[in-house]
Amino acid sequence: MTQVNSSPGRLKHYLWRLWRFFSSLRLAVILLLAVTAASLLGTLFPQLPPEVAGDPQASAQWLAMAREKYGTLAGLYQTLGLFNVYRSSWFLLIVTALILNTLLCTIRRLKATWKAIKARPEAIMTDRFYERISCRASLSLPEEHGATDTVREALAQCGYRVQSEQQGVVTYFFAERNRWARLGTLITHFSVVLVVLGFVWSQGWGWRETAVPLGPGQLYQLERFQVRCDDFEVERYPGGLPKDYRAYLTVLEADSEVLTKVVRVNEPLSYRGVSFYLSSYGPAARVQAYDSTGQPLSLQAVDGNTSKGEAILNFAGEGHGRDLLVPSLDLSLHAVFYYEGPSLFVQVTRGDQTVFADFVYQGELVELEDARFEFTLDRYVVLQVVSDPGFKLAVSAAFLIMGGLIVSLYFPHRRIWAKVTGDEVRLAGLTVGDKFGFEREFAAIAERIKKLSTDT
Amino acid sequence: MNFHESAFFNITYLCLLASTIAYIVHLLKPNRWMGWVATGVSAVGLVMLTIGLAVRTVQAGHWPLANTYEFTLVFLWGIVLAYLLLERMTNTRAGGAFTMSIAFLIATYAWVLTPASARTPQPLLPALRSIWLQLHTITTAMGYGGFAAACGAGLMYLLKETGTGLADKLPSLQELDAYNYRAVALGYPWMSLAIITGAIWAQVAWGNYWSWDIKETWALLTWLVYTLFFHSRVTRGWRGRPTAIVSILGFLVVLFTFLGVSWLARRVGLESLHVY
Repeated sequence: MTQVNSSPGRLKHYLWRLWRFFSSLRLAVILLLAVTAASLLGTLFPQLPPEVAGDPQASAQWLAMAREKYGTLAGLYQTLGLFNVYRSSWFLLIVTALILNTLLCTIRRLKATWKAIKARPEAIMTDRFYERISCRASLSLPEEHGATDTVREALAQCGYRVQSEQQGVVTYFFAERNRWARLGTLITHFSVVLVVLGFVWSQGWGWRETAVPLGPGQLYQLERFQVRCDDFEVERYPGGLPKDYRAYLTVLEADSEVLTKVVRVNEPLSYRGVSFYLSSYGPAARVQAYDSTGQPLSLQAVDGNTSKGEAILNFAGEGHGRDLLVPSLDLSLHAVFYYEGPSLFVQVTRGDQTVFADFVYQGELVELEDARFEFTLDRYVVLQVVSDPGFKLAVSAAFLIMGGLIVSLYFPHRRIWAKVTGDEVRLAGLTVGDKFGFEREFAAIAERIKKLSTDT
Repeated sequence: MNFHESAFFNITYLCLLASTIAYIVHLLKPNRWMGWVATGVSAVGLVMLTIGLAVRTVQAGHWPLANTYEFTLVFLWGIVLAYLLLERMTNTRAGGAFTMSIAFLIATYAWVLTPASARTPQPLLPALRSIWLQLHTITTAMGYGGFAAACGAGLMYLLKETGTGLADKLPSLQELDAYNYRAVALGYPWMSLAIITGAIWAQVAWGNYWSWDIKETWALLTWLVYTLFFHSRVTRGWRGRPTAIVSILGFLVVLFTFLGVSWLARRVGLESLHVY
């Protein structure tokens, strides 16, 4: 019989011990140490950049470079994930364990905390309680009359909510402050979990395009809307250093303009969960092409995009060249950008015969017998396009952490009991957290009671 | 024009020197009068530094957060302010000698070791033009101020435990432990806020609030060490010496984050990264 009964009992016992272990503070300390050590490790080795991580070829190239630096040990390091610590399975495991532990710890404390908040305060305490508590005091007031009122007044003056109960000639007091502050730690710990969830949301469900060049008038196409770059300007200090970069972006939805915004380095444009950050800029040329009758010509970029009469060439920098085709006339145009001027070196060929080759400055024309090209030098902007769904959750939760922290560090739940028998007053106190600060407050309250009783 | 600013800074420097000496004397030979001198002189120093920074702000036309020199000054400001706040909160001057020595060292770095050319006001570059960066700098400084005081308390705790001649002049172990806790309790929320404002700045500037950048990671490390501080205190048997050691370690991490991270980044970085 005993055998049958104890088996589920033992299982229950083990489960209970497992639960106690996973929700323990000791485990929290161990995991915090582990996360600290792992994060530290990640700063001691070069980490695979995220923009490289998605591209197997670039990753392989990057790792080859790391191997060169670390020699024979590089293979071992790579196997251990030391070049990609924050995405390695062991790091994710530790963080997951810490977050689960935080969650379990909080759930475990939730019940006790709620009980403490909802508990009916007990004013009548035994003498044994007054003798055994570490924070205690005994006072003999000079006057018998009004000792209860004095105690009540002193506690109230120190910000305590006071309740009392009479039992014959003895008055018992219970006073407390910041009862609800017990929730502070719970809020902090739940919010830590939320911050991590927000980060996971950002990482797993967000996307980014790190460098989107957008010339004047060019469009960036998204599923639900388009973004057009209208203009870009640089404001400079008298010494020549940049003061402000401004890109004027317009959002279009179903071909109608929805909004226009000035985008600066620290002021992105956000629309429907997608944000556009100004990350850099470069020289661009607007090319307008007409045939001999003044009709716009069809142009074709190297990537196959075609346009009517006008195209934008974005240059990576000085000496960088771009190509443009005019299929109807069998012309190909090659333009190289130079800061001198600024100018373009333009070469136009028909078949393998060069029909034009010279420097072209702002607003100058290239005239051929059957075509005319007009060049306007301008600038394009480089935007970073980011969709980060988890940011708002992470930031709101982070501010919740702050709230919880301040409440639990600066407004701890404090309780004081008092027993007044004639002119004899016994005091006992309990606090959450900072004991030393409470002892000082407790002493000050005792002092105040003495002072009030001598004053009256 | 520049004369006014440097006059205020010179007075600040002298005040910091005087208050460091006064706090050390007060620590070794506690005396009400010396305590008031120490606090008073630091407060005057803080006011002078504030005026100097205000003059600089008006002259440059932007907040003094455009170069390393100005960041250092704002740091100094935050540390002194945090310390004085802590002194008011705890009613003791236990951490003064250590924290003010740190402040004096930072001031020496800014006003003696930084060449004059690096001290001239510079125009604010577009990337630094953000309220979040300003909040980030000030909150970081406040956090570091609290942590410096905690480290002072931790060092004194260990010294007191050895029981050598100097030790009996120091406050009691219990007092030092309590002061350590209060100092970390001041620094920790500010440090948390510093990480949050830094992350928001990163999000606003380049759309990535957490990218495991080496500086970000070290800031997180600092935060984790002090998180350990709080959790270890409630674990049985960790109060006292272990928490004193955590405070000292924490401040070493702070110092490394501030001074050593760029060196580490250079050492660790693959030089030809920009190939991609």
